[in-house]
Amino acid sequence: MVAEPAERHPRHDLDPVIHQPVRFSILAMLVAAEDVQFAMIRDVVEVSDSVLSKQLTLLEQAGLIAIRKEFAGKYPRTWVRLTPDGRVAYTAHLDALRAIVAGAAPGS
Amino acid sequence: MNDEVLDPKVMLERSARLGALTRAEASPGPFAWLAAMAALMPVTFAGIGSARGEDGVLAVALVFGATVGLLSVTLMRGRAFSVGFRRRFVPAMLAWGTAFGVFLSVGLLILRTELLYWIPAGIIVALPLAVAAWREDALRRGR
Repeated sequence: MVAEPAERHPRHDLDPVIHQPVRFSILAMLVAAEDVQFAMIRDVVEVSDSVLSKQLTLLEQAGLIAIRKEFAGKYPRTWVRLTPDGRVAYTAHLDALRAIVAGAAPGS
Repeated sequence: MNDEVLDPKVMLERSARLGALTRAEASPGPFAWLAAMAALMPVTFAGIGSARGEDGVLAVALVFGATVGLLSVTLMRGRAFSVGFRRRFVPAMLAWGTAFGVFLSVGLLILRTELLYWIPAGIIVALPLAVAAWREDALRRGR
């Protein structure tokens, strides 16, 4: 018979939508700003327009981000922002990561 | 960037690095715009007070409008805006707009050529912008 663990491992608190590296990087940028342009995210995260669009759509469908399109003259501009739910979810995800790191530290 | 699942420690480091990078991109433009606008106010008001006739006032207004346009095009074209920027910017603009309208109206209607009015009025009108610039700078420096 296997004994029940005294505490639930923090990896169970990781959000699979957020944990994917590209989506995680997008949210890491958005948590530090009110609005970020699509082009800046693309350049910093180093992905193609199509990959970024796909990941942004997934995050939007999960309710973590909001996307706003506007025109600067003739040129379209896409702004991305974290929703309040997204901020809570990302912060919880970081807390889970910190808990894993703390648990893995020697002597902990 | 590949699709591998990273070590938690690496992900935390990445989060901190990307956050710092975004914050660095988000702050300088609005701060510089607010600071430049604050500096522009006493100059503009002194210009109105010392302008000769309606043509002079019109010339000052045109230069003012062109300068604001240039500042906006060059400094407010950032690719990111800091957290809460809109929440801070709107009240600052309302305070500045109100002060600007009141002091400009009083000056143009009653004290058109009184430099002793226009110079302090320009400084007072600059205050909401200067305070907003100071706040943006303080946030940028993490104070």
